[in-house]
Amino acid sequence: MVFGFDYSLVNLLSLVVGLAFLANGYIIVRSERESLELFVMSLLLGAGLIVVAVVPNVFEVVARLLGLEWKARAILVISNLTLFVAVTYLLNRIGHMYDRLSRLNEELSLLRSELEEHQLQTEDKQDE
Amino acid sequence: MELFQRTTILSSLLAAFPPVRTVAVIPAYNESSTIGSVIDGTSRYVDEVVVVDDGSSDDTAAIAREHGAHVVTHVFNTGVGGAVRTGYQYAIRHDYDFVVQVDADGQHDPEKIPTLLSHAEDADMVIGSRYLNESIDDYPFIRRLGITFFTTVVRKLGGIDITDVTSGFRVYRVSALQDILHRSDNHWAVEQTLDAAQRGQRIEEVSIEMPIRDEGESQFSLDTLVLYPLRMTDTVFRVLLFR
Repeated sequence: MVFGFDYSLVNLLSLVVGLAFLANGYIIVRSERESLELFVMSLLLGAGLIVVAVVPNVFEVVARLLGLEWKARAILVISNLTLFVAVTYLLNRIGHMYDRLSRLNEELSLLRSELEEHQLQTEDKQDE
Repeated sequence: MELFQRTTILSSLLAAFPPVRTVAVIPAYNESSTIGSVIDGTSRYVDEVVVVDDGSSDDTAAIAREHGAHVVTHVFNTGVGGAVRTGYQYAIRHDYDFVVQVDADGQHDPEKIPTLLSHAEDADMVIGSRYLNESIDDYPFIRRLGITFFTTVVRKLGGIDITDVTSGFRVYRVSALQDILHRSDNHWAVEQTLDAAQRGQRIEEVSIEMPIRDEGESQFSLDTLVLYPLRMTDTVFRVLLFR
C-alpha cells in the first residue's frame, strides 16, 4: 500500500501502456506525420491510462459514473469506444492515402512534362 | 590580348553574379476563357511561364501551350494547393531564383509583377494585398470575414504584420520556398504563411488591387464554404503542433 492506494501488476501494466501511448504521440510529432487525430487520441488514451494506473480509485468512480458495473452497458460502452477508435484510425488512413495519391499525381505530372520536353528536343534534333 | 582579358573578367563576373531567373506559376482549372491573356501579360516579366493544369475538362492546357507556356498536367483534380505545389517543385528542380504565383482567372494584373519582384530583393515571400487598397470592398461580406479572421489568426500565432493571408498573388524566393512546401491541397496559403512566419522568413506585403473575378469556375463551392472553418482550423493546429 502506497499513499493509501493498493497497487498491483495491472497498475504497472497500465502505466507502461500509457507511457507507450504518450511516446507514440511524441514519435508522431518527431516524424512529422502530422496526423492530428492519432496524436490527440494517443495523448488522451496515454494520459487516461497513467491516471488510472497512479490513482486506481479513479477507475471505480468512472465505472460507476458510466454504469459499467452492469455487464450489458459495459459491453455497449466498450463496443462504442472500439468503433470510435476504428473509425478514427480509418479516417486517418484515408487522409494518408489521399496525401500519397496527391504526391504521386504531382510527381507523375512533372515526369510527364519532362518526358514531353525530352521528346520535343529529340524531334527538333531529328529535323535538323 | 586586351579583348581576351575583358572576356575573362566578364565570364568571372557572370559566374560570380549569375542572372536572376524567375518563373511564373499559374495554377489553372477550367480557365480556357482567361488563360491566354494571363500568359501573354505574365510572360513579359518572367523567364518562363508554367501553367499547372489541375485536371481541367476544357481546353485550358491546349490554349496555354498555344500561348507559349510550359504546361504540367495533373492526372486528376487536386485543388489549388496541389497545383501550386507542383509548380513550386518545377521551380526547385529547374533551379529558378524566384517564383511568381499568378491566378489564371485574370484577377491578378501581370503589370504589377515588377512591383512584387522589386520587393522580393529583400524578402523571402512577398504578398500582394487587397487590404492595403479599396479593392477588398467589392468582395462579399462572408468572404471578407473569413479572410480577416484567418489573417488575424496567422498574425497572432506567427507574430507577423500582414493583412491578406489568403492572397494568391505572391512572389517567393525559391531557396526559402524549399522549407515551407505545404501539405494541404485546399488551404495552402494559411499553412505556408504561418510556417514561413514560424521559421523567421522575411515576409512583405505590397498593395495590389484585385477586382473580384467574373469569369471561369469559382473555387468557392458550397462544399468549400461548409468545410472551410474545419479545414482551416486543422491546418493551423497541424502547423503549430508538428512544424
